[in-house]
Amino acid sequence: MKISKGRCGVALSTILGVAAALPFTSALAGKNDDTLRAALHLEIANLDAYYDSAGSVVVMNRHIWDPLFFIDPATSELVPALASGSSFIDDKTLDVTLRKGVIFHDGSVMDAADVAYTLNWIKDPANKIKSVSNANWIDRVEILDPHKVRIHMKKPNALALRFLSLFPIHPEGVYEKHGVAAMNIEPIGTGPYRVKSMDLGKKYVLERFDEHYADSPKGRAKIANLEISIIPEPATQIAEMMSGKLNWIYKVPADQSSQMTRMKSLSVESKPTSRMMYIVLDAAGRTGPDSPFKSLKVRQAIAHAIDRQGIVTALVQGGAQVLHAFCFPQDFGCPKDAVQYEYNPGKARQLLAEAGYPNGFEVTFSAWRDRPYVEAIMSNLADVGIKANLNFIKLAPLRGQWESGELPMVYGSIGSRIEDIGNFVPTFFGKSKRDIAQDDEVASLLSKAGSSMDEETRRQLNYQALRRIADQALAVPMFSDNMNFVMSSDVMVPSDSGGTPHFYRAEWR
Amino acid sequence: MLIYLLRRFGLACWVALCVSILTFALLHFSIDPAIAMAGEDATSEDIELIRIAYGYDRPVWIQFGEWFLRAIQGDFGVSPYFGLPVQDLILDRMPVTFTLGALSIVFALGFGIPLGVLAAIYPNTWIDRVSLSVGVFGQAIPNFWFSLLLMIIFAVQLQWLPVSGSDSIWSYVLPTIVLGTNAIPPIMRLTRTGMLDTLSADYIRTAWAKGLPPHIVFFKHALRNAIIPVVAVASIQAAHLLGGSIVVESVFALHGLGMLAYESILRSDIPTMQAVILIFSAFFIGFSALSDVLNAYFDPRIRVQ
Repeated sequence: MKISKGRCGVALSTILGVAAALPFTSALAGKNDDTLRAALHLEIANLDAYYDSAGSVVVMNRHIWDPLFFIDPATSELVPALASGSSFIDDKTLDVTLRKGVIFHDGSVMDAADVAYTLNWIKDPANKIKSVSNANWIDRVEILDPHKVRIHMKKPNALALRFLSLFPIHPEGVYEKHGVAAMNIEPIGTGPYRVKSMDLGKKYVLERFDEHYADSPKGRAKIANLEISIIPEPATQIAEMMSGKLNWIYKVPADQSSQMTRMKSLSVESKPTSRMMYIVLDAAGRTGPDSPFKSLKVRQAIAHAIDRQGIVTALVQGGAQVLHAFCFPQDFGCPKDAVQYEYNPGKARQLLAEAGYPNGFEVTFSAWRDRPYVEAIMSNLADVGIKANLNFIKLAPLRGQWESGELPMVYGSIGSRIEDIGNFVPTFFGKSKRDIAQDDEVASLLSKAGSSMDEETRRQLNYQALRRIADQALAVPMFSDNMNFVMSSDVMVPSDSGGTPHFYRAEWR
Repeated sequence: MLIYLLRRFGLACWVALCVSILTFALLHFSIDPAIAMAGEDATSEDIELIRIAYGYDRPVWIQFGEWFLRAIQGDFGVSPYFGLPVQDLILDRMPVTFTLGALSIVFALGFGIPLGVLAAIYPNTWIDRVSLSVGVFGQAIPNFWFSLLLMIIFAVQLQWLPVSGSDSIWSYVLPTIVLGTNAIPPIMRLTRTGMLDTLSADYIRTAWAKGLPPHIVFFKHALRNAIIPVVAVASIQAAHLLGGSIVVESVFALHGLGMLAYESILRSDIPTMQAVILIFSAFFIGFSALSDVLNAYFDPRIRVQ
């Protein structure tokens, strides 16, 4: 039912080309009534980030709610938000002091009872939050005084403070009152904007919350009102931009955003995001004892065979960059000096010959996204004699095949919302079901890093693990993703490394 | 006629049951809802915990049995995404889809019947050719392309109509044209064929011989009989329009049942998908039954058979 990007892209590119050539004199909306109008793609089923992990919900949460800690988009450092400080009593006990004078959008004061209530709610499996592993390290949360809580952890978790940056704080008792749809009924937060009105899943009107606490790391919102509509089709969003009814859209396909640069009333921005594309290889031989990826030389050959810079230049475009380690450069513990496998088909053929595959081999290559990139990779592999048979299926069945060890080579993407490799690298190399490398040394290093509460030790262990992944070519880190933002020329909207817009930092030009 | 109606109703219930079993089986065998709910970056642990928490680890037949027993009482369960009863979501979205469907069928009839009549009155002339061309155009043009074309002309360049949304009745103009244009060809062709047959009938020759004016012959005597099969086809087309609104609603950001289906498919929201598919199939079953009944009403020979 979905309109394919290919068909839609051709149609839209043609129409955009014609439209861009025609005189276009639309008055842009927004600045006169101090209302920024934006569109998001995926319908918001539940405004509560604990129950809907869609990108649209992340955007809304960033504006309506605040967490205890906040990751500064400029430095990737953790800074206090609703908290004013924290201290580890021991490896499993964390005290968090709360900022005084924070009030919810309904005028009630936020205190330790709200924090303890929220954290105790999300750690309980019976409450069925979506990202269970983000919260299941919490054993219980107790109130020490109205502005201090104590978090007891099940086991030491070095990422505890970073995970706390993902948890919006809700008023005490809100779930008992309304159930899991509470935020669709009473979206009360402490964030820089409050919900003025909403048509569930369709349109949200937010207004600046003038009582938003001073010294918030988000700062004081400059634009008074936000009007956020859900428009699923990129083509429709572009048409709305061209008609002047919207001020901001994102995730615009590269070919279409380049057409829009010709329109003077619009400005186009391309930025790399912290989502990483990768290929993992069956180094453990889970698909069979004859898996060619058991050979280091074959894995290195794959890394040399793929023209990652070429794919970035021709297809991903924008600010995307080739990655050499299995992480995004700004992630905590990501090595900057990982071994680099330059594009060298000759060397790849030589390595294959040395590994006993002078004529290449045939392999199943699985992916669930980015088909154009995947096809470019297949073409690169064919050049060195590797015939990759594409297994392009939906994520759900692919993940089943992957976890049962049926896939020798998988293309995918991953992003870390807490900008720390600790919450995603172990999924691929920590002996989990998705670890098809099964490297004991890497798994051991990651395990030690996960339980170490000393930041420098953890950094070193993560560094060593990622260096080994690169040295052994256990995976081929591909490139960062790129995101295209289109905005009316009278507004400037900053965004973070994940591509999430910060409308509270937006301003009219 | 009563026995005929009862038989049709029984058949409709049987088809609905088969559709619900088939849908449930296909959804559960093609999608792992726990993986879809957990999201792209979820860990295996997240997925397993969600599978248990939402009961997706139980045998499919138990899940179907529970769903079916609730569904026959009008309870389609709770959407794990919205946290709201599915029937509330459907009731919230229905008006948009019904409005779009009703306007589209009116549009299709409003253009299809006159074009068919004109083509039959002036067969093998340029008028006939133009009518047929409209029919071919309506059938051949992809909805998404036509939607974008209309958007760029009428919403972006001329700024006469809104690009998307359902804020006013004007928001429905472009989607109605797109969806309705798809239904024009069968209505137009059936009207033309019916009119050509009727116009060659003896009673029409008699009407001409009596010196009746053309508009009386065409519209009072010929069209009345020619339109009988069109009425039945129109009811099937109405069902097609309701079911076919998924792409149009998505493109024009009309938050109706079609868009709910589209979003539910993307999210693998099985309770909502199951209910929406059942509703759409109920439209088809209902309108097909209506078509049969109308045919039987207008043509007694069908009842006898």
